[in-house]
Amino acid sequence: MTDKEFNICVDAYADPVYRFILKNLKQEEDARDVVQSAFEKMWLNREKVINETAKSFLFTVAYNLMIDHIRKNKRVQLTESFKEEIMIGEGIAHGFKRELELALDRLTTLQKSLILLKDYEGYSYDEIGKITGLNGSQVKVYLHRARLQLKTYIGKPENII
Amino acid sequence: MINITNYETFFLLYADNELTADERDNVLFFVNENPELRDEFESIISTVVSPERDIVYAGKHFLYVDSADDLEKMYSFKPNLEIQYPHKEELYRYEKSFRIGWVKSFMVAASIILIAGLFWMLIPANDQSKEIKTVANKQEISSTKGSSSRLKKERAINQPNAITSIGDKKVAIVNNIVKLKKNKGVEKKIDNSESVVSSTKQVENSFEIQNISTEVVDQIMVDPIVVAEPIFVNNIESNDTRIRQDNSLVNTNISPTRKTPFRGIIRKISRIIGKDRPESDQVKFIQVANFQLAIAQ
Repeated sequence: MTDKEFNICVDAYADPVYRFILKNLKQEEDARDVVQSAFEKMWLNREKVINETAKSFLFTVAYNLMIDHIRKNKRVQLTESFKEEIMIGEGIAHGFKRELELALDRLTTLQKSLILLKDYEGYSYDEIGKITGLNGSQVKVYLHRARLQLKTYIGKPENII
Repeated sequence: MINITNYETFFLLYADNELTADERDNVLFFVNENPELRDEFESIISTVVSPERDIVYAGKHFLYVDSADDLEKMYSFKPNLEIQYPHKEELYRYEKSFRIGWVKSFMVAASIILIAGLFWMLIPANDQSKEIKTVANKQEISSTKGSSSRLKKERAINQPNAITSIGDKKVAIVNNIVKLKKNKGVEKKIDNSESVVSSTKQVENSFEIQNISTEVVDQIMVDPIVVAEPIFVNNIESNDTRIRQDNSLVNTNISPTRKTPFRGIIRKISRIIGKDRPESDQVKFIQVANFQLAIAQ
């Protein structure tokens, strides 16, 4: 991968990776750090990475960095979960989309990542499996379970205005 | 094919966009035919999260790379050699080195002692031959003199463990030490063995020793004979004669001046090394310290 190809990847994939990470971490600074680290890794491995696999490589590296970051900051996450309760109350007043985001935050990191990778980027089950370290069947099962949980949460009358 | 039992899976696959166009049409047709399932279908479809396009990464300009060289400079650092730690003296440590000077000197001393000891080990054999000759000569002289001072002889008898000082050497004669039976076989044996029995032969020619040999005492008192090396003749047997000397022993103490701790070490070494003598001696015996055990041939 040349520097020009690398810059093209920055233009093409920096925003999707950033959205994916930001939706999971809910912290802009942390999401930026993860994105920057992912691109740095891709540059360091530029001889192994080709253009066709650059996006998958970036999402895989970003996902692993995000998991590491979450593990390191579990205490911070507990504080954030307390904030989530407040945000849920706020979200009720902002409509269905906000409610969906709140329901999404109630999922596990893996489930949320599966849904985001599927809905945001349109990856197939196998592609998601390569990013998250699962196989296609596992991705399908986990993803359907996550959607049913979302449906159940949204379907409750107390969660719907 | 979608039916009432598997519709939920098809709804989820529809939400995941994993169905073909025909399958998607079939799902929509199934929902139209079953309006009671429409709410469930829409609730599953509503779980699809649409990407927020307004969220963009603001730091792209940090990620752009003009050239590989620029990025190499960005990710590589050169040390500033001007920065030095000011108190290196405090960090120095010295380990105690193992000095081998005394070991060398000890090894040299040990080797010198070993060489001297090996050289010293050879001296007793020479002294023995010389002293045996001396014994023979002196005994011949004493035989010519005959019976000299009886008084000294009697004194020697009265003093069983008398020690006679001859020059710088001392000769101790113990009562009942020397018991030699006169036997022709002994003579034959003596003829065959020079060094061991030569002294015995000389003694036998000059006088006969029974129990306490007054002649020997007289001889020793009159003529200072030094039998330096102990000669131990025990159980000499041959085909012709059988000599039994009932633990007969001619014991002569070594001069105390020659007894040193080092000599004890040499004796121990000689127990191992000095078992065999060269064949030039023509007498096979085993030397244990200063004692020589004759071996029957």
